[in-house]
Amino acid sequence: MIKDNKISAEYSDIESAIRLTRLDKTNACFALTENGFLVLNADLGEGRRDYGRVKLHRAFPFTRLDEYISVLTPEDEDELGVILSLGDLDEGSAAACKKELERKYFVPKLKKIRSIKSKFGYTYWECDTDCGVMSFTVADTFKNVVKISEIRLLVIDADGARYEIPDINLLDSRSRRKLEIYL
Amino acid sequence: MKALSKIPDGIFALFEEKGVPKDSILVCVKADMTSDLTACDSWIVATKDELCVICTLGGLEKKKNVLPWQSGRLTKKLTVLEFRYIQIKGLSAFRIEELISSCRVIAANDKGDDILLFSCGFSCKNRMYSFCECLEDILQFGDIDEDRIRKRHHISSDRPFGNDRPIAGPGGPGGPGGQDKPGGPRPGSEPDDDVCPKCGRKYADPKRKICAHCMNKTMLIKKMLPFMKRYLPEILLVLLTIVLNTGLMLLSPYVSQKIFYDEVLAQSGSMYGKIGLALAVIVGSKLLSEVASMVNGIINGKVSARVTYDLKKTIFSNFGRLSLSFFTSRQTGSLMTQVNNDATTIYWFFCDGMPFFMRNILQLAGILILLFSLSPVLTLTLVGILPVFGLFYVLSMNMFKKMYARNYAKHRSLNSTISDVLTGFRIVKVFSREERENERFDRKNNEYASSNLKIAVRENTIYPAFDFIIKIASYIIWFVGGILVVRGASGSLDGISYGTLMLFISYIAMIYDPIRFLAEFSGNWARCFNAMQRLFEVMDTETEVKETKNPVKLGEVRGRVEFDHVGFSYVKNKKTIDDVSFVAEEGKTLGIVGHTGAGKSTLINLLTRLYDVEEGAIRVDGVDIRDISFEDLHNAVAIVSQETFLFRGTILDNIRYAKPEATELEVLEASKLAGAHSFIVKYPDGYNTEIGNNNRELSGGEKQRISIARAILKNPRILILDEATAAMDTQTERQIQAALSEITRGRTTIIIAHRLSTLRDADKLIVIENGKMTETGTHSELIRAGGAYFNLYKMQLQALKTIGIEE
Repeated sequence: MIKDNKISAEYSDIESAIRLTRLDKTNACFALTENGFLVLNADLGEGRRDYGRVKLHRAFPFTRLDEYISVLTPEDEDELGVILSLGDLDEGSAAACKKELERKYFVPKLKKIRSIKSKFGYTYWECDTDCGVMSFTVADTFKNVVKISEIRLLVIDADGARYEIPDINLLDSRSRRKLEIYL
Repeated sequence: MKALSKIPDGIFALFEEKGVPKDSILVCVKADMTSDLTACDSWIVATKDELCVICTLGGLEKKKNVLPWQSGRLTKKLTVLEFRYIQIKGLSAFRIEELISSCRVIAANDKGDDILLFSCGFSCKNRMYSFCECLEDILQFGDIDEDRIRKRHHISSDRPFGNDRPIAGPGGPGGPGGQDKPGGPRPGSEPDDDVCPKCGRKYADPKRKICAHCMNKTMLIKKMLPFMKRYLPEILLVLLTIVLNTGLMLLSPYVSQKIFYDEVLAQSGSMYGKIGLALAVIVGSKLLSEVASMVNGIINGKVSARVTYDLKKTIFSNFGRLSLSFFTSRQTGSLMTQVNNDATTIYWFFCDGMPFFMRNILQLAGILILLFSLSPVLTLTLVGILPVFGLFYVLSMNMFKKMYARNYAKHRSLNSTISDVLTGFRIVKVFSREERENERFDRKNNEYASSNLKIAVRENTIYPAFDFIIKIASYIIWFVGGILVVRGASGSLDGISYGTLMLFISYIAMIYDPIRFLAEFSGNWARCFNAMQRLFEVMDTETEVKETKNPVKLGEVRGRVEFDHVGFSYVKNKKTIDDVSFVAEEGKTLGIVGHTGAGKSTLINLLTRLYDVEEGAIRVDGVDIRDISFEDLHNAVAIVSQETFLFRGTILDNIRYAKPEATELEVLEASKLAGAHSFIVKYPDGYNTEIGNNNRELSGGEKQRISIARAILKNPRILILDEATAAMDTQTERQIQAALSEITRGRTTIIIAHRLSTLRDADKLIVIENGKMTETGTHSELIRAGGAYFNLYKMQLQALKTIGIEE
């Protein structure tokens, strides 16, 4: 399609839409503001400038936690670029991004299941988590207890909030028994 | 003070201690996280100048049937975890950022930087949107005024906030929240209306304010009663025959054994030697019992067919009543299973199960009474054993319920997989994925089979266990009975005759069956229960899009369509349509242009009320479409959309779907206009050709043209073409252009297209980007303006050039 420079220039805005823009230590620098939000200073082809607040999103949140991270504008969530690996960034930037990712992907981890009462397909859970005692309701329980891997489980409640069990085998046997039916 | 959640007086006292008097508080709300993301009770209040957050743990007195934080009193066990002030002067842009499993409530400070106010969990989301609204109001005006907030978002004062949710005032019922968006309106949702007032748990489905935890079985039975009422006479007859049958069945051992042994055969009996008579009585009673049984069976058969029919009809018609969003969140496979299986399960239960159940209960009761009259001692022994399997029964019932629910889920999943693969079979073949699909099916099949296996194993363990317990019971009876007979022979008072003992034993054999049935029943009851619950889920789901009770009559439709500051989102927090306003004048053509996913088809969905707007209004001839009846609206508007769906049937049937009473001539004319006639007459069967699954496969363009014919036949004042010519090549489209200009003459036409060449002659064009309307004007005006439309047009020209088409 690209026959000579003139046409390729005409197609340049399409190019940016179809190619991944890699962000690494050569062209991007992330930092946390004093209020704890992530900001980006980068050169994406128009010279080095401040992009203000950006959002991060893991492309493969279950398998690749520190790789393939999409950097998005806060309003319209347009992709500014992709961090192929946090290791590609300088230490300060990587640390800032890591903190932001931890906050974004914060999910309570269930340590013990005190009870699961089931009524008509809805289940009422009361659990000990790493954030304290939490109770929540799960609708359509069989659908909302999801196996991410052989040992990792996600429970999604009626509000869309998530609760994680990092390793089913590490649960005490009582909790396991209560859970088994839904696996 | 606007209370978005109820806050106990004790907490207000805490705020007073910290220097925030209650009368300075303008709005208060409850959240659930500390700043280091620990679960807690987080109380947040806002005064004119500041936000104040206190996080506590525990210490809320529990009272019966009242939410913990509503009881009002604090106990000594309360710990204060955190306490913060945030100055709100100079802040703006209050909003919620939804993360993966929590939210950040954020504002912008006077330097334009974002600051974090506090975090909360998803369950507080809806309240927080309202809270942000209130904060905005406080900052602008120093206090909170709901009408002012409503005006700012163009919600007329008599309109509920989105989806029929009523306006919450002090007396209003308020909605449990739902589709809120940043800056979206819902000031003052009634405090804590998303939790069950009895147990404090969140309603599992906010659209149905039913707490499954507090719902009990009797409620469900009450709901089934109306179904049964229709068949009252038959049911009574069935009951009668059951009683008769059971009574006779119980009597026959008595007659054939006790009387026969003790009265007829024994020398001291009153009917000594009258064997013939005794036999006659025995045979006669057996005959009567059989006749009763036959009658029972016939009536049962009749009633069961009828009730199944009624049930399926109800389920099906309820599907029709529901809004589109109900279906988009469920797979058709599982819906199909639902309609068929649930109706069958419920039918089984009420037409086979219930009668059997009653018969067995009666039998049981009758036998126990008889036994008691024969020998109280023995009966008491027996009764002492019964609680054992009473317990067993209860435990197994609970277990079976869970297993059946799981089994059903696996079954549904299996059916969905099959339905999925079969509909997408072309894709499977093209990508050579047969092996993979086989594996997927195998897995699901396996899961279902193993679930069935587990149930079978359980059942086969439980029932024999039941049997064994019963056997033990009978041995005990033999033992005690034997002693009593010996006693009786030796003349003691509490002794019994041999005949009595034999009778006793044979009655115990009759207990065997009812109890076994009852044990099996637990599983079936559980299954039926599940089915009933699902049925009521469908019936109870309130339609989101409701027809108004007193629709305005539309009369002769002129066809003026107006969108007035319309806002809408499918998914919370992502605005699909954002403040769009335009007018399509009567008889004129309006073109809508934009990228894929910009929201164009959504506008059409809103116009036809497949969904209702959340902000603003849509009017036809000046009347809000929510005030018009569905019938009037759908008569006035016809759509030809991107996905053509043709039903199974003839081409004639499909075109006539819009107007069943149309004559063949009308169909021919419409078809010719749409450019469909030319290929239809080439088929051997012409318009009588069967299309749909397994029948003739039509090309995309052919289907499209039939769709257009269908719309033309309807002869609507407002015609919507949603990428109607997308599936056609440009040459065919050109041919239809002529027809299209004929079709669109005198009608208000709204054309949505990617291909801008289709829109060149539109009277007005609007450009939609990310849900917002960014440009409007005629083709030449927009080209001259050099904005988004110009760019789109330029790109298309270039793209067409590369495939050799010059405009």
